[in-house]
Amino acid sequence: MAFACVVVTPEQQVLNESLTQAIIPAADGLLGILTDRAPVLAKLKKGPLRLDLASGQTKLFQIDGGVAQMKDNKLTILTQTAAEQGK
Amino acid sequence: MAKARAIVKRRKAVRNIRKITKTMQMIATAKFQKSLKRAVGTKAYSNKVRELVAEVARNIGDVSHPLLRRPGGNDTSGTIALLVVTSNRGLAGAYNGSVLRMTSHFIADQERQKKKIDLFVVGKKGASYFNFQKRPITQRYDLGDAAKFADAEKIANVFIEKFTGGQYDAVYVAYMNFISTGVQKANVVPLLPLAGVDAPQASRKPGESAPIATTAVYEFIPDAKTLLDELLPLTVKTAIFQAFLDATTSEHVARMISMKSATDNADKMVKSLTMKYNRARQSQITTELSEIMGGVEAMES
Repeated sequence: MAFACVVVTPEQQVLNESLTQAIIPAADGLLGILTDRAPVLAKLKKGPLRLDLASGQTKLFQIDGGVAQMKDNKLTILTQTAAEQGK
Repeated sequence: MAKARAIVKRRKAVRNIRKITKTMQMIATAKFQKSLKRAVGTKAYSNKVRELVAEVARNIGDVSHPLLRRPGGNDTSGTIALLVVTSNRGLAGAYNGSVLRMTSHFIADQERQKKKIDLFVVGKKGASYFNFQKRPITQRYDLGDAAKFADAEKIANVFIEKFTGGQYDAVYVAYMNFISTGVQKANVVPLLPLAGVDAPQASRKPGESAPIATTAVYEFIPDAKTLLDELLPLTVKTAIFQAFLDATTSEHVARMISMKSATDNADKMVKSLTMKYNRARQSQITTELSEIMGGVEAMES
């Protein structure tokens, strides 16, 4: 089971992948998101964003605030900057 | 010979200019493709922000926020801000002209309504235009070739602060809207107060049944009000950023088109000059020949 995820910054779309799990830095602490999660709108703070891709890979981003929306198995992360770690 | 040589010289000059316009056209095409990609990339972001605002607003019900304040009565300051987006460079056809013409109409319109206007200008062309008109510019911005989101954010923060502080009744942006490669339109659009948040209820006609609620019931972290406070300024910032990107894309399109027609005109000119040159050469040969013939005849007799 997987769900869709897009990470967008004002300058570009950073990622558009299928995920098994996401861990996002919500305003009140890290928030894990799995497939079929109830709809949520979360304010984000500065912190690490971990995305476990359906292909088995794990991607780590450093994001700088923003908003995340999970709805109908689609996770959208809006942030000002998203820098992939290890790059 | 003098005439033919003068024509050759001119033809050479035209060819050189053609080379330059052709190159500018190609550069504009490359830049256009790049900036179109950026503009499209940002559309995804701004559409999403708008969608999220609508979702949150629907959940809160009664939305009130300083950015939605509609000044009226004795709440007004009588001053509005206008951000004019122009280019730094010319040779882009009617691009700057149409933005500035639109702006002038708008300013005249507002001044008839006894509003004071604070001008914020992006780009050298706009600045020199208003200097020529002897109109004071409140603030000038120079963004270089590719506007960054941070630039838009800085400008947006100024507007947000002054608008919520009651210094401005409204903020407008004048720029060249990029609709498609074939269509660009100079536009003056209201930026603040934000519109469209409470639109869903207002636009419903009386007697029409309520639309089926497709909206999901959200869990808000930390709560809807805080999220709205985060999202509304973001809409302003993205709107300004989008305006910058649209303006840059339109500028490149305008330059592309005007340079294309300049190249075509140079081609036409080279052709007609070549024809003129050939004719001049021909008539020169004819004159020389008849001179020689005349000389021979004179010797014989």
